[in-house]
Amino acid sequence: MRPTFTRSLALVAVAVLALSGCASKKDPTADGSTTATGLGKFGPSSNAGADSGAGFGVDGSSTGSAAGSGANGLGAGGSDLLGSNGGVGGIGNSSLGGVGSGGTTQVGAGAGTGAFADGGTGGFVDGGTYGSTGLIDGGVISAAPSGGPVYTDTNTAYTDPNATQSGAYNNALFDNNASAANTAGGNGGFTTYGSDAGGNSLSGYNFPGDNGSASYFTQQVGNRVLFQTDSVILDDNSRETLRRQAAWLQLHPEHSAILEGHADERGTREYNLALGSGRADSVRAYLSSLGVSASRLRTVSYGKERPISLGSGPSAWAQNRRVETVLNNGANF
Amino acid sequence: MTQRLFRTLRLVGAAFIGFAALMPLVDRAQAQSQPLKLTLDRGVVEPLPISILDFFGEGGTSDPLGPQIAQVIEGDLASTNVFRNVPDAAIAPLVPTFSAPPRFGDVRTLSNAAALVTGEVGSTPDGRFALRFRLWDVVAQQQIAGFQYTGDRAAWRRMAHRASDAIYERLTGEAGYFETRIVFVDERGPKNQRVKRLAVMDYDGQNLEYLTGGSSLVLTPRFSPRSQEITYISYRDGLPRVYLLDIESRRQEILGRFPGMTFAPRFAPDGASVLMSLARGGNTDIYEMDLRSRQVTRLTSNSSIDTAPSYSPDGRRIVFESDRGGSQQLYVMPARGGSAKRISFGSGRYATPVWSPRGDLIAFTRISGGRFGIGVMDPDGGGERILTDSFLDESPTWAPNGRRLMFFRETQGAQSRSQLYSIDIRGGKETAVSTPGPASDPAWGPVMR
Repeated sequence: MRPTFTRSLALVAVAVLALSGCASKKDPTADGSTTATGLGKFGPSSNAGADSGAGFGVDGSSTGSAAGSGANGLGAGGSDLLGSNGGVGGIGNSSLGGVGSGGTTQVGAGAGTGAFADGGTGGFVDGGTYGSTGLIDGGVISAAPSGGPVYTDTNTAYTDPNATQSGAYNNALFDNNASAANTAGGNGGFTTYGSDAGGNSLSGYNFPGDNGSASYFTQQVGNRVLFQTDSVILDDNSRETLRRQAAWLQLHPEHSAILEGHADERGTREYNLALGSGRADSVRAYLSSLGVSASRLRTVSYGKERPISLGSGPSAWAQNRRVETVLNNGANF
Repeated sequence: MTQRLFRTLRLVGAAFIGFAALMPLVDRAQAQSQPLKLTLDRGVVEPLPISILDFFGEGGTSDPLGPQIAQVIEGDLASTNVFRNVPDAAIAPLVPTFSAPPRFGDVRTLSNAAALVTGEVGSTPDGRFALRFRLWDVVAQQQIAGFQYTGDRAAWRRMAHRASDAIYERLTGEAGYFETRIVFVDERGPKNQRVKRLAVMDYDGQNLEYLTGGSSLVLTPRFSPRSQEITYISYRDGLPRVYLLDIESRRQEILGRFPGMTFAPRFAPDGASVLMSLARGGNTDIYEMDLRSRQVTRLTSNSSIDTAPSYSPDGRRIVFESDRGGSQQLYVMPARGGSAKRISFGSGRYATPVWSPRGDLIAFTRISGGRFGIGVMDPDGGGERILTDSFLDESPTWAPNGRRLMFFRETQGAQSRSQLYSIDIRGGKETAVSTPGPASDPAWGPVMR
């Protein structure tokens, strides 16, 4: 009697079928030549009583017909017309059970397209492509074996069927009249501010000793604003710093600026990239509102990748939740 | 015949429910013809003692690969915590040749191995290298599997992994995952100046290769579930953009020319499209790009951070994280966008959801009480289990059989260091994955067949 276990296996996923095949070892019938047909990726390698092998092609339809021969089971794995994996031979059930031979393989070493998979039939093929090509980065890209385009910048037009936002809501970031309805936690809403004493006026900022250099900007103007945890909101100190930045940038049209958003290490990578982007955009929007041309500003987020304070504690994290204004030579981008 | 090794096979998972229902307790005493089968139930499994004999050389000679192949198989099986290797010294003399059956009576007397693997390396009539093995049930004194793999001798390690897969599948009823690769980010340099390179290696750390040179910051590589392709982000153009890279040909391309930065890419189950986040105007939403037509579809439109999307394996739904409700939480929406339902309701915040390839679970990172942990929950949010806990555990990735997770752990402080770990979702402790240096952002590739 076949164990119920074996029958039940037939009802389940294909992945299990191989087990069913291997397990049906108690079937005493097929002594001699048998033919099994591959059943998808893991066709049964029936060792029933003797010896039939079955191919197992990746495409399910494969072929793997395999003939057994003799009581000691030397079922040959079927050859797989479609390619990978070829047959796995049947296993004889006698005490000297034979091992079926895997199907034959047609792709030889180093044959180009690709490593071990999907080549011919049968066991394993050393594609030989591993490690044979160099590194890729920074524009140095190793040649692809088959030639053709290596680096493709698709210029497919970007279409945004649902575009509804143009960034207008960012006004809430520095709008004293932002409604309370905008207040929500996280990055989703924007807390309103207290009175913005400085307003939008840039008069009254003086830069003694200004030589127009990046180091002057960093040291005397202030290139950095900080944020609360999970927040993209500019506080009074930040807005004061940004007014100084805006005033200085008005005096130095020869510079444009990259606004780098950063986050502390207490968030996941993707979230911090988004958060840093939101922070950079808060700064961009505020500087724009102060009259700095949008063409002079570019934003980027580094998430938690570039901390300036290396510790793991509240004071270090506070330093790392920041936007840095990095001067760029050139009037605009 | 009262071995405690043969237990109920009560697999957790839709694909196996029928199996489980029809296969209650298997007691070897009452069903002696039942095949050797291991219980993989939730919780701690008593490991099955198995002995892997050094493979014979051709015709009973010795071959330098013989012990190495046995070692690879031992490593594969032991790494699952489902098997326990039994030294083969006492058993080896009882197996004179590959062709003769072992002297089972003596094997049982001299060791407690319940399963035995014998093998040989040789060549085929046409000169190809061949690896053959047999898996024996020591109690039933039967061969329960036997395979031959042929090819180039240089591919012996791949063949050994494949033998491990066959053994694992035969004894657990679950797909193996030893013939797989991991792509990850190799980290060097100080915390404020990390040099990050994409690297790929066999799942067990062998055959390491670097895919990028380190001049551009690279993050979050993700494997295609169907091919040896990855998608990742690089700062090559000065801001983060999603790239596509074919590991074999080393061909790469940028995915789309978007007005803002793109990140958090992940393949669809059929490999034909990629989900990603686009940050624009201070807002981050989820988009899908069809890789053939390059058509882009916007899936969320919300003034909050929507990111880290992952498809269900049937491609019908997407789980993602959003702070639309005030803090980072997990949501599920239809694959074409539409109303999203929150599924995470535990304490703290939830991030980086990844749908299991089996469909039955979603893995995630949970941040609670200043600690990070990896956990799993049902797709409807029930059955949450937190598996790990540390200062920073992040970025789970599934083994192709949906039974094991890999993630990275970063220590705190100025000398912080990242390290890959893997853990069985049914329990047990996480084990470190060997890499040449600090490593993060692992992604487990598909079985290479």
